[in-house]
Amino acid sequence: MPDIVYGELPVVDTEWDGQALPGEPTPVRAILRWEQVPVDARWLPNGPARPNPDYVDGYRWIGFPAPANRLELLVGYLRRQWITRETFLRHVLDCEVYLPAEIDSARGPVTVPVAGSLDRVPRLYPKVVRTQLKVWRRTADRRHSAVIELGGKPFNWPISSAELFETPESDTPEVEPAELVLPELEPGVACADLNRAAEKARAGGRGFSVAEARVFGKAARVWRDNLERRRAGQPESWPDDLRSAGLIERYDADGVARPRPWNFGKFGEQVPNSVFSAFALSGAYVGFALGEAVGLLAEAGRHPDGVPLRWGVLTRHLLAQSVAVIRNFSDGVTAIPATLPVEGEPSWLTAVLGAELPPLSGIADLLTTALPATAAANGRVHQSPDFGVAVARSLCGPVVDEGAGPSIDLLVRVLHKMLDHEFRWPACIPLRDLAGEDFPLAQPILDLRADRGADDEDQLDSLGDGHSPDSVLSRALLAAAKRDYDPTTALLASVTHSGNRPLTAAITGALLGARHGIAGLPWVTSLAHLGVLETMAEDMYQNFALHGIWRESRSDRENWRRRYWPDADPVEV
Amino acid sequence: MDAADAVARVEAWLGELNRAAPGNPVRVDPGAVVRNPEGWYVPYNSIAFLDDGQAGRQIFPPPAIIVREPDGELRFAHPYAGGVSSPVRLPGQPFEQEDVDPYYAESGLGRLGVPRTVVLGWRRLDAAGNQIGYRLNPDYRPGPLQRGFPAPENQVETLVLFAQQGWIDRDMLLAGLVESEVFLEASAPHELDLRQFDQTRRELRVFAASRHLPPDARASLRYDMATLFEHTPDPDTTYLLNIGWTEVPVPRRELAQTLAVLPRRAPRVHETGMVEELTPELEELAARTAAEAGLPEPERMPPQAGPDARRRGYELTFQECCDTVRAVNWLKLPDPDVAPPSQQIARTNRYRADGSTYPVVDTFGKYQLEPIEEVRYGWHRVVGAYVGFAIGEALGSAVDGLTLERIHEEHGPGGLNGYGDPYGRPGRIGPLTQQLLFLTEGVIRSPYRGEPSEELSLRRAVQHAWCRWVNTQGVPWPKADGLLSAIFELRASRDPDPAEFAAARALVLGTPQPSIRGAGVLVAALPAALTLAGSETGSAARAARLAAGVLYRDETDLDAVAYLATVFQGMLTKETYSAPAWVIGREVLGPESDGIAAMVAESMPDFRAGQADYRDPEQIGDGRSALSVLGRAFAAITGFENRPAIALRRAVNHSGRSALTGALVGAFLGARTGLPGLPAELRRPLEFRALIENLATDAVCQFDRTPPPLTRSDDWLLRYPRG
Repeated sequence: MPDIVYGELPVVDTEWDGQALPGEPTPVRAILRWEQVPVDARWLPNGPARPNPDYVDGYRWIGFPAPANRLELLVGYLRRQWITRETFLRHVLDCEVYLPAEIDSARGPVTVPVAGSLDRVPRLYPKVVRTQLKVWRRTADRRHSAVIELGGKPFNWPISSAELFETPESDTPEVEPAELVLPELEPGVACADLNRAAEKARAGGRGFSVAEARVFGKAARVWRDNLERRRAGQPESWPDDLRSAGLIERYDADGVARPRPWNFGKFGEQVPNSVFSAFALSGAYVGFALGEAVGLLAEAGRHPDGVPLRWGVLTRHLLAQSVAVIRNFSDGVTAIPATLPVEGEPSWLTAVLGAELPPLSGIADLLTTALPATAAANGRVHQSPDFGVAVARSLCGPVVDEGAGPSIDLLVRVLHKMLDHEFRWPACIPLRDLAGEDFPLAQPILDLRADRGADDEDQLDSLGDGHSPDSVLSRALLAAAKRDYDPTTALLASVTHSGNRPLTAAITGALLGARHGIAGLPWVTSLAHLGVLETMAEDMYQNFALHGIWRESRSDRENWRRRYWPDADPVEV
Repeated sequence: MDAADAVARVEAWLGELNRAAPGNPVRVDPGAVVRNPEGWYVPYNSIAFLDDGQAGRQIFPPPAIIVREPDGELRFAHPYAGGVSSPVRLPGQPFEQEDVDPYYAESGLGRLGVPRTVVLGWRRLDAAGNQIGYRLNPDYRPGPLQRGFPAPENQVETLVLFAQQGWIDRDMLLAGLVESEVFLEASAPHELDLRQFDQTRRELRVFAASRHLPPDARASLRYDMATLFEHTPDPDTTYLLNIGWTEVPVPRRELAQTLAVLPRRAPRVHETGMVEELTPELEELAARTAAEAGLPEPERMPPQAGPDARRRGYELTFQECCDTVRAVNWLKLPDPDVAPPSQQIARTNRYRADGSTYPVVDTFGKYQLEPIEEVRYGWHRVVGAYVGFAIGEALGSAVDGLTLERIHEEHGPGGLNGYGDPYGRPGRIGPLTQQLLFLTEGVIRSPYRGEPSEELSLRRAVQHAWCRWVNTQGVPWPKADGLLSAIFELRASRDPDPAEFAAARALVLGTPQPSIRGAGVLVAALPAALTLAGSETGSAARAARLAAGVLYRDETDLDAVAYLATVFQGMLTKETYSAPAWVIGREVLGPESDGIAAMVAESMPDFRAGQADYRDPEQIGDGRSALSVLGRAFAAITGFENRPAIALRRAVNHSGRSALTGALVGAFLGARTGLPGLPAELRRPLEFRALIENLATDAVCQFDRTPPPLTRSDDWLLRYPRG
């Protein structure tokens, strides 16, 4: 029998997009392995694959955000050294970029912010120009340098003057420079409320799209008009369908809806010196409810696309636990009771959702306590994850000793890291930090994550019975840690297994929300009571931030008391 | 007007002609004047020939002028039978030349005259014959063939279609009918089957063609209408003219009036015969073939062949019947490898779970061997759509992604015509057809059939289908099983789109999936549409979004694939008439689909609104986005539904995703006509045709009312294991 002839087929990491770098060969560092494919004997299986010792994991896999444009893709490749700096610079000069149209160089050289797409332009420049750096530099001050905007200072990527002006350019078609107005500054759209919101959104690298700016602008006008009416003692007039008009509910102390323009979950109202990110905390609350809703749908086999998403008992408990935590830690209170009862205590929330609190169905459901407990460690009372763990145990009461304790402890610590005020960590990072004797669940999850080609469903099913606290948490952490670069895939993975799907997905959703924020989650616009969730998350943030609500004016604090202690004498509180 | 009036008018005009062109004076030949459907047919010729017998001065072919009834307009008769007449003109004078719709001009009905509704406009010519302008006809109506009605195959079908769509009036219909032939169902040779005669209503059903006879018909009588008229004793009889998808009543009394004006001139037609599959010659052939094969008893035509074919609007030709008889006898042999002596044998292959094949009778796409209910879709339309998809892609692959300019450079000004050989030989399937097959296998394997609420399972089954396809492209997926994974020939790499391949590969590798968008999303529409074959399964649009959502996220893309699945849902109907894209495409538009509505308006004229301009595929979008490719496919086929070869050429000759556009147009054509309507020269060399037909048939069976695993004893569950 003649020898079988094999041909080598490079199996390239799918993060490599050759079309983004025309003319460049596939880098060896982006090749996972070489498959040995029989050339003239297709009925035979492949020969043993040849591994690539030089392979380097892709930027998304290790936790960098997904690139939103070609410029960011190039930065990702450079970060992983898939391309050299020379190659990077050559192609950067070719990219379509967005720069401020007017650069004040009177005081000397400046660092010019360069965005790869309009939503990444960091500030409300009156005008921006769409061009290529190779075109722009012909008329620019050669002392200038540049910085590629990637959504915040820690991530932005600098380009020195020398690199900017001395890199040879390639002979590719040129983009005619064009001056543009940012969507929120367009005539007929711009207004002060929109500009303020857009400025905050841009600071986080999540600028409004044209459609979003228009919707927000219209909603802001409706909101402003109703504020005037209220001040004038006139009846307010709100559209029947708030959500489609770009409005979202906030609730006053009596549980009355006070709509306001929705920022599409693109930023949170961050206050100084807080441990956590308001953006991430809102994302975690909404992600939790979204996950539960997706899990409940999955119980019936349904996919969440285009379907109204209704959360259930778990989220209801999350909200009630949040109220309980807030009520326990009023101004000056730091003591953690042995048991913190969660019985649907009166607040604005009970006015909205009612006082009835359906019982939890299993010990694993106590994992819901981790998020409100972690959120309490935002700096005013305490900032350590140990404090969060203690609060969670207090929320659980004595039943925590029936097996949920270690899982809650791990989840609080993971969340504590992921809610960080500055970095949006991927779930694998806190797991890596925690892996060890104290948290034996963490390492197996990381091991399973490393086998990335393995079937997610098989891997999740291999983790316990799917119902115990350890098993549910392991499955949720695996879905998040393995796929959190893509929230849609991660959420679907968290409901594709044989265990407790709503709880698993709720925890995965909270982790995804903490990393990507509301704006990064899928199907959010179909989620019921989004305004309730956002209100609760913001209240948790404000109540526990060092410079939160208790540093505000007396009237604000009084109002706060009415929100959460409507049944108490203000003096007592 | 009588003959003398007509002659006088012509004589007067010929006098002017003789003055304008005095070289060879002409006059009327009064003895040859006859009345025809358009008016008075007045031949003329040179005086030298008619009066002096100078054969060399004869004008040939002999010219004639028609004096049109009732308006008396003079028109040159077309020199050949069936051609259209044209207004008379004097040499050396400006003139307006009629521009007749080519569908009418080529219909063979010219003798009936040129209605104003078929005149597109008039070319203004100067005295030297140069065009100096054009005047549009506000009364023009796009014809039924342009509007996508089924192509007629004989004169009666043409007449009924043109009359029904207002291209010809009732008088023209009747005038044409008395010269046409029809079929009656016979219970035995020479005997009318009385079930086609309603005694109470005095209605006699007559068929425009033998393929329209009832499925269980055994014999037919062929008449010309004038002879049938004579043989119909009851003057109050009404003939119901059946052209397959509709019927038109024609009272005998109306025919009587027409025949009074236009008496029969053609010979009588009154013949009888069995339907092809029951002709005695086939009995002899069966006996002879059985003897050659050494069979103790001859095998005959499958009994359902003829009836099922007629039920679908086809009929088996005598040659096809002979090939079938040979096949059923030779395939009866226990050893399938014994080669029959004749190449003329209707044989194709089916696939086993291990990828091997076994021979079965080829049904030409006209009838189905196993009984299926076809609750919603026609099996022949589904098979046609799948084969059409593969043909269209195989055609377009040769010019995929080339600019139109480059295509013209390489293939001439007419563009690509026929298969190129992008994969080594003409007719090889491309990556999109590979993907279509795997996605179809995926939906068959999903539990969605029995549990339409199992949407996540459908999505997962499609995800696994992509993984199995990636497995064939050299990247192993350990769970690859089932039919397609066992067919090693499918492991050929056919240059899939790099971005789409990367997105699918990520499902196997577990690496982050690149965000892709574009027309590749549309491949999922056809298998998704099939999931709706039964009444209890979910929505085709929903299934399309779920299936396509495995690789695509963009809402515009998902809306496009959901819309296309709904279009296929309409096209694949089990009914005898499948409406064209420009009708279905508008009917299924939802209120939420602004972008799609704009694409539909841009790519397809709305004939009902009086629009008649063909759209140029090259002008619809960038040729790469989902809406643009779908729009180009719509533009390519609209107006050319009855000219498949031209529609396919239009679909692939543009600067975009020619292969995908070609595939979509091929699927539209195949859904419309089934296999028999697809160009034979493209069908024959197509790679994997048997597999494609096999899989499409299995998909129809899977989503029919009674799913196969309950009723079939073959290796269904091995071929299509769950998930």
